[in-house]
Amino acid sequence: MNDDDRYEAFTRLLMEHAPRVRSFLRGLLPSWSEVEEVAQEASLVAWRKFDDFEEGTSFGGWLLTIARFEALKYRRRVARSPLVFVDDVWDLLAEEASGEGVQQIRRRHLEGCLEKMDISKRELLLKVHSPGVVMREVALQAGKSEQAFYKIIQRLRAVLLDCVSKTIAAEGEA
Amino acid sequence: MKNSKLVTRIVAWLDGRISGAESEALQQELRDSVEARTIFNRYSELDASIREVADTEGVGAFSQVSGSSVAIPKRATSYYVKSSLVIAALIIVAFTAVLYVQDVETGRSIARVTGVNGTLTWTGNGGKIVQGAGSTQTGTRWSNVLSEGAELSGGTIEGMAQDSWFELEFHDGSTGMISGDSILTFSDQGQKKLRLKQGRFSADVKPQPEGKPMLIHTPSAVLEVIGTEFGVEVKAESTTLYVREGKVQVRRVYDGRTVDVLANHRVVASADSDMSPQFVVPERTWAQTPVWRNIASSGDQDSIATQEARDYDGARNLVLSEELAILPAQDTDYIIRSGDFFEIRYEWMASMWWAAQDQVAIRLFTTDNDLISGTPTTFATLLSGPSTTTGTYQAGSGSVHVPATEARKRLFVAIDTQDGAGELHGVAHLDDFQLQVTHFPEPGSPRLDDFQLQEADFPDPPPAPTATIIIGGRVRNGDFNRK
Repeated sequence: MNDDDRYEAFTRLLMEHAPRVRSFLRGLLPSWSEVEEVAQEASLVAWRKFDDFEEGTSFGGWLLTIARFEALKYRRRVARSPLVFVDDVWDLLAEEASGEGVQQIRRRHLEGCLEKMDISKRELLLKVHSPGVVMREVALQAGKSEQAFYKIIQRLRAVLLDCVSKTIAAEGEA
Repeated sequence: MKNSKLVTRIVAWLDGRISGAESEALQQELRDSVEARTIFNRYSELDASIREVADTEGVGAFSQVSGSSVAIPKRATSYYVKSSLVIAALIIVAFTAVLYVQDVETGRSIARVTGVNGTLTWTGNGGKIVQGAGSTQTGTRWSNVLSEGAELSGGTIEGMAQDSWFELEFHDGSTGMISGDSILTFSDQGQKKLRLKQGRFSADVKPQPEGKPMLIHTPSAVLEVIGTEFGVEVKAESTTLYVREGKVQVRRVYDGRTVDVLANHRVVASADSDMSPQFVVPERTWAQTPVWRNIASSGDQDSIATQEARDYDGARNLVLSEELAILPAQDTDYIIRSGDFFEIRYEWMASMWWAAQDQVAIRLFTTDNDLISGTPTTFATLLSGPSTTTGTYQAGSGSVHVPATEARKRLFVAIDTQDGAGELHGVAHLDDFQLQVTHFPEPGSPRLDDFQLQEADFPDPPPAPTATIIIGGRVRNGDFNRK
């Protein structure tokens, strides 16, 4: 395999498995920016070590293992905080979240359910999950108290998760 | 109910706004419960998925997006489990329809709706299905049957979302509530018969007629309730019962084994459980804690106040946090006298994120209007000193003579923290808090030799000052001192 082929193969595999890695990291790291930072680090490490990857084995599992170590390295650098899980909880979550078949929510599930929501609710939900957006500031703009606003967002998430779960279950029946 | 609190903590963590005390509680739940970790994983996965969409498409461009991610094959068992659940659901729905059909036919009211929230589906009145979404404040889409005060003749209520809840009151005053994705069928023809197909149901049941206990059927157990307060959670293969007061009898469907579950005990009925009731007392919020309250300006009365875990003496303890949103305090109902000498004692233990320099700070204060909400004047701050042990309780104490300026004012006390490391995340636990006062005569009172010099009758000596407990033991303790 020449360098171009190698790069193309790596890119294809990375694009395929990146959402899974970010989802895995989201359960360990307290903010999306940290998730993206560690995911990028993991991608770089994976590229450097791509020669070690055995074709025919699970690239996703290999990448997740790298991501887990990179997350651990990141965690050691950050300050003590209620947002950083203690060792045993971290290990439990990391172990279970890296298991096979964990991720079930696919983008089309989410999009299907978002489409079913009122447009104002959908846009609000996407807005508070957009890069750089501070929920407290959105609450202020909306003229809501923080607590009331958090409850609204929590309810929208619950509705969305309920819809996604039912969609996945319905697919399972089919 | 419990999962609702768990979800609140999970999303607070995901949003980066969780307090130290809530984070500690969340991590304890994640450590202890597979179910909690499953819910956590679902929400973190959802969060990541929404952010992927929001990140790549932006708000407003969503409707033009088409699916692009690569599907990850699910395991065959996933299909099997879900199919089994759906089949089980259909069987149970068909079975439970029989329970209330007679009430429906007669149309006799057996209960009244006392609260609704979120998306719910009600099936009653001969199979008429009513769906609603919203709260009682925004219930314009609700049919009358699903509004507060509506009379019901029996049927099936189904919560359609995590935040859904539905509360009813039977005509004998017994109350019940489902929350989250729960399905409950209920009837009452001289005997209350309920079927909880899935989800959570809690109830406060008045004493039932002799020989006619409330029966709650679940796929894995039958609960017999004479009169008590309890909560029950049903999953595909198990029923978990928690009894707050009284006693509930549980019969496992699998083998007919029966156990009595007493107050503050929990039992899991499933094919592989030992049916052994376990003692457990959940945490309590400030709103549930007598005497003490959270006086922080941004304080949430529904955050954790006391808990059983990490106990000092087998009873509950107060959870302290450096977070600005938590400041336990109470109006002691004591009017300060000049010459008062206050002493405090307590046991405390540093916990997560508590730095070596952080300290417990007991503050004694008065206010400008003798109300706890008034402008405070702190006349004493009694510090614990740094923690000298890790993971074990240590004693704290202090004392102060009250300044004369505070006499005739109402005494308030706050259990605060003093940061020493620049991080306001530390959590500590405090137990057996005691505040006592000893009153010494004010300077200027007649002395013994004054009487002798004047050749007056020799009076009885004044009694030696004795300490009076203001807080401690069973007195104003907030249910976290040893009884």
